Amino acid sequence: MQKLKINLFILTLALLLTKAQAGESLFGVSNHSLGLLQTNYSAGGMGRSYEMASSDSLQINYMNFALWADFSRTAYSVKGGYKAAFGEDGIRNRYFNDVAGFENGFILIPIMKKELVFGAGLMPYTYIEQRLRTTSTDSIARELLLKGGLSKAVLNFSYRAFTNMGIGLGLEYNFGSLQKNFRLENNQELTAPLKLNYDYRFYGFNMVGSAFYRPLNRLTLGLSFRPAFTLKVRIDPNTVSEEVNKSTLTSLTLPAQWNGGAEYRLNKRLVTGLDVLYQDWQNGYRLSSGQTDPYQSKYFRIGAGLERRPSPKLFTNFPERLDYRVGFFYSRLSQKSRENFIPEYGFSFGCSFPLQRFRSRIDFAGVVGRRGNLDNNRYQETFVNFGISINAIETWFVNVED
Amino acid sequence: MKKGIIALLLLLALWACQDLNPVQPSKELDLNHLYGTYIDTVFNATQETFKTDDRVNSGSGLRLNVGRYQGFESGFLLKFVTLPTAETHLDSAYIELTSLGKFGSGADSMTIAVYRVQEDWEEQKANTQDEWHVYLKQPPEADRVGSYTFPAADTLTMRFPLDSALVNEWRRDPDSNKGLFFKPENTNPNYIREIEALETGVPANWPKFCYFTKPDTEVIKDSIQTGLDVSIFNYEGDLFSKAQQQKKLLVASGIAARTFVRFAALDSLPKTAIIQEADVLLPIDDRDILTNDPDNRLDNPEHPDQFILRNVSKADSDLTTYTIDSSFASSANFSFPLEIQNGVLRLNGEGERNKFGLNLVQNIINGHTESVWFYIQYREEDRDVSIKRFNPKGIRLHLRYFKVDNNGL
Repeated sequence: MQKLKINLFILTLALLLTKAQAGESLFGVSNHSLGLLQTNYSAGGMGRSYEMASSDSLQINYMNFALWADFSRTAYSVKGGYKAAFGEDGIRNRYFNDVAGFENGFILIPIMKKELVFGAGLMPYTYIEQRLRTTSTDSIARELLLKGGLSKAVLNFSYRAFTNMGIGLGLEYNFGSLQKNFRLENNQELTAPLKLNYDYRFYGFNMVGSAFYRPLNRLTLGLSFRPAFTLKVRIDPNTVSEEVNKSTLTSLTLPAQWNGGAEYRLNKRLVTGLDVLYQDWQNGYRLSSGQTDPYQSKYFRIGAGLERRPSPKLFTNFPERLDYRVGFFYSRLSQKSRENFIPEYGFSFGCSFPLQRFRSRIDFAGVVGRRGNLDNNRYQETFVNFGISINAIETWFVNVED
Repeated sequence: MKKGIIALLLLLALWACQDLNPVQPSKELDLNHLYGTYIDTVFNATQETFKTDDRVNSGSGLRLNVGRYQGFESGFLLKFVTLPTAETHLDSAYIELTSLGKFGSGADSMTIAVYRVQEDWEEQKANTQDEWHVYLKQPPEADRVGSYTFPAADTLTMRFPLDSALVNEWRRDPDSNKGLFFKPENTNPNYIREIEALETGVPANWPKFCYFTKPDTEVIKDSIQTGLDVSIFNYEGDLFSKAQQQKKLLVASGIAARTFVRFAALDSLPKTAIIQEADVLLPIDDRDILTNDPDNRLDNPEHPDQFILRNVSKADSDLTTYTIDSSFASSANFSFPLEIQNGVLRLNGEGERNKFGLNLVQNIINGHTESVWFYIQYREEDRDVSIKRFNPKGIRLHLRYFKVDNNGL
């Protein structure tokens, strides 16, 4: 166990240290963008393309916190990932961008076994990183390096009110920053470039409510809801102008988020499920003036998949101890491109390896998909994502002598 | 297997840590109006004039000047401070001066009169004190030690033999050595000879006190170059006053004149302007200052075309008194050299224009620097006589700046 902890620590550290310098997608870049919305699936959920109603006492559900009430022992989980996108714009320009790093981490501490569970965690919300450059007819080159995004820190209590139903109530602290380094060059002259560095720091709380319900022995339904909330934005410019450098505070309103899903157990090992995620960025994302951003879109995602779970037998061969997953999804991103919504679709696959049977395991997931299209967006990306999450069950706060 | 997985992840992460190649922004991000507007503009000067100063400190001048030209008259003080000791047998001595140029159209030889100075003087003060200007005009005849005539050649080595009695007196009583005063004889040579001063970078050309000594049987020639020197400049004429009346614009050295220009636009620049670079442009007018004939006879070709711009932080309405922003004394970031390019005097290169914009204009906008005028002078206004004329109608302030009008969110 000690060895596992060390390996987990090294892995997490490596992923944190190697937070990538490059962004994945060229979509999601607009005047008021906070970056592309991230779907916070665990590697397990990523492999099967659904998670909202997925109940597994060995795997922390990243999407529906109410299901944490299934846990009887302390558990933790971390996830890292690698994303790469191969883009083309229809005029023979090809792009490649990728990003890797730590994504999520959760810890659950049962206060009352399988009844009341406290959990905390970190997860990304939006992310952006791009370098953009344009040259106008007067030979003025403008370059912008965009980097940053939002994350959420979660504190949540999950309570099993009835045998077949539970609820979760959490507080999320949204935080993050966005750096915009603007550089202007006059190519007609050998002038030094003009630089404006803006630092936007975001912070704000929101509530999250979640629930699960098992109307049938084989069927689980899941739901989560985040009301719209206000995000404070501290703007700190760094320029040679003291007037410009005056720090200002503004706010943004982020839209409510509805997520729902279902999982049906076909037999002892085979389960299928469905997720529907929705967030109205088009009408719900508002600037401090109250205006909406014309480049935001209604986000939704539908994902469905199949999972073959490991054999419950104690003594069986290694392939039978693995968990196999496949799925597919279709979504519209939270932003528009060329005034059209951006479709995203693909299929997913994954598997789990037991590190310690019935205690800890490591999940791998891969996604291959297409984002955008040349007809409407004049740009499209073929992307691949790889995710890895590690789930471990610990025995904490238990008096062994008892 | 775990090690393999970790290795694979690390490889992927490192591969992902590549630099971002810039891409063309999509329509959703208007990079051309992000944060504001880039402005490249020119403002004309709203006021310009010049002021003279006939008492500049010429103690560090790189030339010693002697002669008369166009109403200007110049002579110089020279003193060697360490002479051979009184015990050294001295056969003869002379002063050797090296002239590498002259200013003026005269072609006749010039007679230079030499006077023994009886008063103490200081190198860094002499030209600022009235008494030496009077001395230049009318030295005491009793102090005269001789006169020497030299041809009008551009380059010349001039030797001034010294009376042994005088030299021996200086050696016996060093306090009696106040140096010599060199001035043009009363005829008008119509040129000013420029002689290498002790401050130049070429010691071989420095003034020398040369002497012959005979310690035993052999005569030895030796020289001393440790001394003080300073030019004294006088002007008798109405060139400057007439130029003022006719609203001509000029800078001068010897009798210093500095051009003052004011740009009212500086007061109305937006507070959110981010200066990229700024430049002050003054077109050169090569015509005669008073007659407008095609040639400016007072533009000394021997004088380097190097100028300096300074900021005037305070001034009364008629510029009788003014205060130069002294930041340049502590930082080179506040010293702004100018040069002539294609007939226009302007800041010397992109680096200087950027420095001028950021360190002066931006500070004016930020409210850290008071500015009422810009002031332009010769870099070496203590060197010799020269006047450069500008065309007042073409004086401009060129600004490239970015006007911030939104916070980018």
